[in-house]
Amino acid sequence: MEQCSICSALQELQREQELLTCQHTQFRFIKRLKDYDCIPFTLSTANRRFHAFHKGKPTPFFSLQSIDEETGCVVLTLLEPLDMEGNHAFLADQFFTLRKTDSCVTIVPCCFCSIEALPLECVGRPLPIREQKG
Amino acid sequence: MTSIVFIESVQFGAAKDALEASKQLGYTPILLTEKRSIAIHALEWGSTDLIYHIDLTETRIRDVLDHLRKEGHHLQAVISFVDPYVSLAARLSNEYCQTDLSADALGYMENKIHTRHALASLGVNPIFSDITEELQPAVSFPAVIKSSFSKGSRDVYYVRTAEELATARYKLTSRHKDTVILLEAYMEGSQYIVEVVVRDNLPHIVAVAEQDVTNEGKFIVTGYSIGNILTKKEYDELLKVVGKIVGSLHITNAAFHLEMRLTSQGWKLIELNPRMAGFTMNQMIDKAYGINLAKETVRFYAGQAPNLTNSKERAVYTYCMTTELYGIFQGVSGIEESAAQPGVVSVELLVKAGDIVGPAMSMGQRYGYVMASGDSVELARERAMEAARLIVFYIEEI
Repeated sequence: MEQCSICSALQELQREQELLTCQHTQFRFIKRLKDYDCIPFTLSTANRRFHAFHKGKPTPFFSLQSIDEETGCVVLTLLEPLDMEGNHAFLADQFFTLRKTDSCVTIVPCCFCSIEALPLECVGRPLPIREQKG
Repeated sequence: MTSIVFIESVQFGAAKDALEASKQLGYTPILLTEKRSIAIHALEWGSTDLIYHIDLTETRIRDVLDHLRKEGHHLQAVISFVDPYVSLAARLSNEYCQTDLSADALGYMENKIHTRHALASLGVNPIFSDITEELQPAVSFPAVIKSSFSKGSRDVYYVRTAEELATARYKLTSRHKDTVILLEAYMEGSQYIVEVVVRDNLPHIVAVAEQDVTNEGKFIVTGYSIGNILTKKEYDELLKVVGKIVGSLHITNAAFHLEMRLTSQGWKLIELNPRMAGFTMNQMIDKAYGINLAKETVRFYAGQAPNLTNSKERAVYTYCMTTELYGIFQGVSGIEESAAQPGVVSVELLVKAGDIVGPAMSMGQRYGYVMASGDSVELARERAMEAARLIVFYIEEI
């Protein structure tokens, strides 16, 4: 089966994501303040960004869970965008943090034409502290 | 073209209000500044027709003044509302614009040790000593240590032990070896800002504002109130003290402010500054008494009679917002709701998303304020605090 470019991009992303978590790649000199285990990204078709729904609310943010070698289908975990107060950020580009959810979606990568990764720090970033005045 | 030259300004406060005021009075404001942040945003400073971005040395300032005269500007006054240029501006104003400002007295006020010595006989000083030389000062703890040119509480520390004194002293001298250091006995009591305008030797108290001072090693003002705060007796005594200070320093024509404490031994002088107070003071006096003091000061320094008659009498309270957290400021909510509360005059945020914030160690680390008015200080304060409770800061700790 001929591989589309998004299929190979997702395989590459999977390799990099494993590097983040794999025990064998514990660096000797690279120290990190925080461990990350997933790479957040968005997928787009020719004319729009792909959204999936978690508890009825849309999100364009995903992380890769698994790739089925046989069928080429990919399972994505939905990441929910939250604003500073921890509410769902309906304006997805104005999110403060991305929270992992237990919702998944299976896709056929060949339907998409672009993928865009986000910084690792976006996932699980603690909400800012609310400090009331007066 | 009649112009007024201003030496240095600030992003927020009386020094900025004065630029706008000079325009209202029909003068062309010309600003000389050392701050790149002001020079590159020259368009936002729309009230200023000309901005010179120069090193503020006397020689450079004189060059610009000479240049302006050659260009045909008629200079009405040279004014500064920013330390340490106030007395220099007054001196140049007297020389270039034939004004009659008390430049020497203003110069005295710029140096805290000189002020203390000049007022030694009036009984308004705390016990103090110049500890630049002396190792065994005569002052007992708790005490206040400050550099002779401190401003905005930046170089002022409250010390309780010899160790704290040594630490504070190191902080003051580590950057500038030749700093003159003053150690003063700490005086218990409420603290007030007293705005004074002296014209032809006659002092006039424009406003008295009580300050809520938090003291955790540093003195930070977190609230200001104007209104019914002094009894008649306290006010009369204050007037007497101010009169004596004005006499001792031979102040003829000047606008300045004193920071006074009302202690069990009467009024004591904390600080004397040669300009009107910054931050929200101009706005507060305007809301309380209908006097735009920055404008009247410009009018006065430009040679006209200032209008210092109260057009109304209201109590005004300003609550200053600080934070207890260290981190990155991510945002705020409740500003609009807060501003819409009854009696609230103004709500300002002085920080933007992405800025690093922390507990206030200087007056510059107050990140906004809520100002409210009312028939009494108590009511104004209650309204300001009530409105402030609607405001929430979002801070990402680092």
